[in-house]
Amino acid sequence: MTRLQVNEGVVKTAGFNMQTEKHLEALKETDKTLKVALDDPEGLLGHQRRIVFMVSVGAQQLIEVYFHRLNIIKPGAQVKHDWFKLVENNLKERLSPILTKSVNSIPKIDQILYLANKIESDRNDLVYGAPLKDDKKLKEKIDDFLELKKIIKEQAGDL
Amino acid sequence: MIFAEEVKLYGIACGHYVISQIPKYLDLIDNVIFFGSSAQRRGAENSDIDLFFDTKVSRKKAGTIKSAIKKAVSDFRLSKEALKFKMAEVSNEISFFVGNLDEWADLKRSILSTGIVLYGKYSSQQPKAGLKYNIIIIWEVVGTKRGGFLNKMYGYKSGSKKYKGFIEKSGGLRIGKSAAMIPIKHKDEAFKIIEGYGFPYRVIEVFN
Repeated sequence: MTRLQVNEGVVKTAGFNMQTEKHLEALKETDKTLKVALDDPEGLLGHQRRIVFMVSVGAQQLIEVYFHRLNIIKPGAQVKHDWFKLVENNLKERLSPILTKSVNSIPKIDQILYLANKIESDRNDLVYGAPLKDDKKLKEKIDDFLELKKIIKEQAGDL
Repeated sequence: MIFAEEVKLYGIACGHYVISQIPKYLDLIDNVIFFGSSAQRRGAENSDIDLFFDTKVSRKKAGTIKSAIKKAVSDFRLSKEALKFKMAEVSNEISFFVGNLDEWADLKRSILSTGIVLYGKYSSQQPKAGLKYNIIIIWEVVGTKRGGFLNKMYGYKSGSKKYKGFIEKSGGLRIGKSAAMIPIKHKDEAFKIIEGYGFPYRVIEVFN
């Protein structure tokens, strides 16, 4: 009986690590995309779609990692990026069923959801729509993503 | 230490960016100085980037310059340069002051000991009438590293051999139990030694 419990514990821990590992890999990809874009001497405009898509993916991954670290996400549940388009109360309602804890009790959740909403707000227009004329919006997206990362890192530790 | 170096570079990048964004006010500004712990490579995540814009214009005009600087600082945060630093987790708060430095006595002392001039006319730091520009450093020795520090500052003898200390090597003068007068050009070396031991100190400018 004891042995089975220990084994179950090991399996569960490995599963948890694998889940966060997947998100962390995606985050590395976001970082790499942003680094390439910021280092491009021709500017950010040629990276419009990649930047907007990857900060959206990155924000979703960051938030899921955060929930995993807090151990408050139900097994098998996933956060969808398009939820972050919703206004605050609707978004919290969407998140509630996948969490084992009240959304409002999560540290810094309002700041986190505010930034995620900013990142997601015009994602589809920028990914599928016309090219931008100047890069201000892209810089704002990158800044919002890095700010979100900073907050989650402060709360959840190294990523 | 690597992080502190990055913070210092972030401060320099910010200062240069702001300077480049306010060309029409540059004739009214004598110096732009980056000072404080971040300028001294002692910056941490929560250390501010402190910039001083030294100008002798009227308060009203200083207000106009301040508004232009405020906008430039805000734009800097969204510059490619700043975003690269932010990716490396360097995004310290930026504080700036605009005014006549001679009217800010406390700040002037801090700037004297830690300031990096990012913009300004070249000055040999030699006052007129043949006076020499020196600083008096007064330190407080605390903790267990007293012996090593005093040897470094005052020198020491080993057998028949005498080793010069920093004060003598820099052409300075011991003026008390815990104070020395050092030529201004050696100030950074002096600060580095004292800070290396983690001792508190203060600085007074003197001309003699």
